[in-house]
Amino acid sequence: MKKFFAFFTVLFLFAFCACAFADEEAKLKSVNDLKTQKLAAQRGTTGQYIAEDLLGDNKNLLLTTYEKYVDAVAALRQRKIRAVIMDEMPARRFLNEVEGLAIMDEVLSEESYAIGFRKGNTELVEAVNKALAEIKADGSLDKIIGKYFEAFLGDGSSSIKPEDIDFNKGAKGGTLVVGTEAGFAPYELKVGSSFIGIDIEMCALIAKKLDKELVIENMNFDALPMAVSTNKVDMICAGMTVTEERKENMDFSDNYVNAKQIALVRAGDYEK
Amino acid sequence: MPVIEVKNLHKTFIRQDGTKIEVLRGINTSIVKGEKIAVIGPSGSGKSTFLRCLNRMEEPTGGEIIFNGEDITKPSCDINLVRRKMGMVFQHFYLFPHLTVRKNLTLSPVRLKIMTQDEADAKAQELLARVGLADKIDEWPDRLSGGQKQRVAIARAMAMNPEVLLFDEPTSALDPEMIGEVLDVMKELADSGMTMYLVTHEMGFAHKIADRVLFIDGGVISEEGTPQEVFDNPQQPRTKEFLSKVLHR
Amino acid sequence: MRNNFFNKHDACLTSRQGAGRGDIVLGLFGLFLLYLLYSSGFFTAAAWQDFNRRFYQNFIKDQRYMMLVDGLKATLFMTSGATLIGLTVGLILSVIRVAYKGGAKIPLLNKLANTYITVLRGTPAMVQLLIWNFTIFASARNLNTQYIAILAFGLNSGAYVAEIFRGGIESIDPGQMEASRSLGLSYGDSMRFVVLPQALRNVIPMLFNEFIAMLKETSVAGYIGIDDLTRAGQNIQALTLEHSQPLIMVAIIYLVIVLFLTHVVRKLEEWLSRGRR
Repeated sequence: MKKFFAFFTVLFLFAFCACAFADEEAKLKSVNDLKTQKLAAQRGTTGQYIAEDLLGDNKNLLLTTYEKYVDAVAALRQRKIRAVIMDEMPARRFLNEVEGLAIMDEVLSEESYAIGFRKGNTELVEAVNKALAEIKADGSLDKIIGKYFEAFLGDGSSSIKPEDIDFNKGAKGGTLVVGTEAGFAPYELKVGSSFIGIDIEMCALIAKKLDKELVIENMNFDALPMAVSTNKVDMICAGMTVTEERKENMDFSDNYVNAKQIALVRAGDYEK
Repeated sequence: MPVIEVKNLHKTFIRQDGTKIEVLRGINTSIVKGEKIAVIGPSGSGKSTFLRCLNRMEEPTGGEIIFNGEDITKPSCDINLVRRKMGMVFQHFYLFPHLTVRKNLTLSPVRLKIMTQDEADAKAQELLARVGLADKIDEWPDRLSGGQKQRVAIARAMAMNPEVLLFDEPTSALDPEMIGEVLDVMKELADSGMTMYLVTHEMGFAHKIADRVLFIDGGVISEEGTPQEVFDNPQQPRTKEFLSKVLHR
Repeated sequence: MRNNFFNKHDACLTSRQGAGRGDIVLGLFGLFLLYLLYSSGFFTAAAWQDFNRRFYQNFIKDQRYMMLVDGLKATLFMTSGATLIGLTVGLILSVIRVAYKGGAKIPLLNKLANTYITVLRGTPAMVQLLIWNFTIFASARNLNTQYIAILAFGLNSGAYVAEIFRGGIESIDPGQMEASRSLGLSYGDSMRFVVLPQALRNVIPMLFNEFIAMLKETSVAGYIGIDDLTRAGQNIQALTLEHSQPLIMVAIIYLVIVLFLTHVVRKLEEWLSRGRR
């Protein structure tokens, strides 16, 4: 028992010293500096692919992937890593809610989100594309996006209630099962026992057009491609970027929103 | 007519390495109703195996055992029915520790629908009184002394109303001061006319109650007779040697 | 023999230790932690206020604690369902193996049972869960995912329970079976009324440890889309972007349940060992 106690004392002292006296390295100035730094991303996201490209041969050494954004940002704040490569919108939300963070000015990549389908499910892709074109044309998609950006980057995030979203319960055309990862505000978020978010409300509109009831399956992001290819879900709507690699295993709808990949860093670690 | 008739009984054990050990090499004997037979012999002679073959705790590998006119070594024989009629008392008692004394006695007759629970309870009460443990009916086995356990075990064997009782060294695991109480119970049973096979090292007791004594050596009955003949005037040199060892004569 | 088995395998979680050096060390350890908190400014008014504000954000606002309650329900539902399946499967498997060893002519069944135990014990529960959900029940769309999880965890636990039961049955003196058979009871009756009740009494601590382990194991259910307790904590994290409080709260809830179960098993043991000297 004494040994046990001594061991933990020493461990804590070390951890304490490491936190208190860690040397601040040279500050980050541009995206170029990231190529030799420890980076993090959410597993299976485009952020991970971009980070891998940035790091090149060092990716095994320097890249950590996390299941959740919250974990990656916690690691950033604890100085375990120097930057998180992620989508702009959720990053802006972190900036609002958590002190001491910054977003690097340069955009790492411009991209678009689309809905993913099982390869060869052309019928559903076409039906969804048609519905998507309609809600784009009548401005209802823009209205949803505007509402959420305002709510989540302002301070009214809890003004949106899941009860207000019409999941088209009891529709005649059966169910439309949508896989998502509800930790990606403002696109999808679990509130109480239901969901809100741009993707959710958009899918609700699409489901209505298809005369189907919307059912949300909340999974880990890297489990989503597996779920759609085994027919567990009809489609993926999870802020998913279209990439060449993904296109080999999935079909995609038309794009519904443009997004950016950025680097989230500690404010004190960034010098413009 | 004998209750049990044993003809040319053989038992061969096969060890894990494949070697065979012939424990019983042709036993012929019989017991009639009310008879008490003591089985003695050096350890490893096969006397326990012989007893355990009688209710097929060990499967005989040859020969016949005729019980009430039926060969019980045949595959067509339902051994569970035979065992109801042959009670067995073990060296280590083997009371069921998770059941009270009452349940130990009534489990089998009630489960086999021979008696109702009430009948079995009454029978248990009667038997426990007979072995002098009437007050222990709701006790747990682990709270009894060794001698008390063995008396309960005898009562349990009696609860099935058996025709024959098989005793497999019933006093060997007991502390010396407890042997007497168990022997008293067995004596009382013997006097009441129960048919008994008794494997034992208690030569004095065997001498007192047995009608006949079998001396088993090397898997066969090497000497047989009344207690007077076997104990007081043994014919075989092996019997003499064994008796002189156990009786320190 | 029986009692030896009982004591030897008595799990550390359920064994009682008197107050001694261990408690003093724990006390010192706690004081040390308090000192660390103190020196990092935890007990200042501002830190306390901040703590309260975040606590309100994480658990009180919009009744967010209900997410934890729902998650706890899912966790307990899965654990209890899997426990039932695990007990049933484990009992059947162990009886097959013991009966085969005791001379029953069921080589094929025994082989099957052995293979089952080897495969399910030789692969991680998480991998099995994924296989059940995405391969075996790939097209089962209308089936509640929680039932799939119950099946996966239950069958997995069945393999462990089988080994626990087998150990328990083999720890019972063969004389118990002989005594029961000598009274005319069949093999099945003897198993059911004499051997198994005693075996069960011997293995209860280990069974409970298995189920406590399973309770914790269900925390991977989030992977197939079940909002269990762990996942509920993560959902709160995503809502509030707060990292530590929801996780620590989840950990505390797990710990309380485990301590409660440990208490129950202790009481159960006392009740079962009545009549023992």
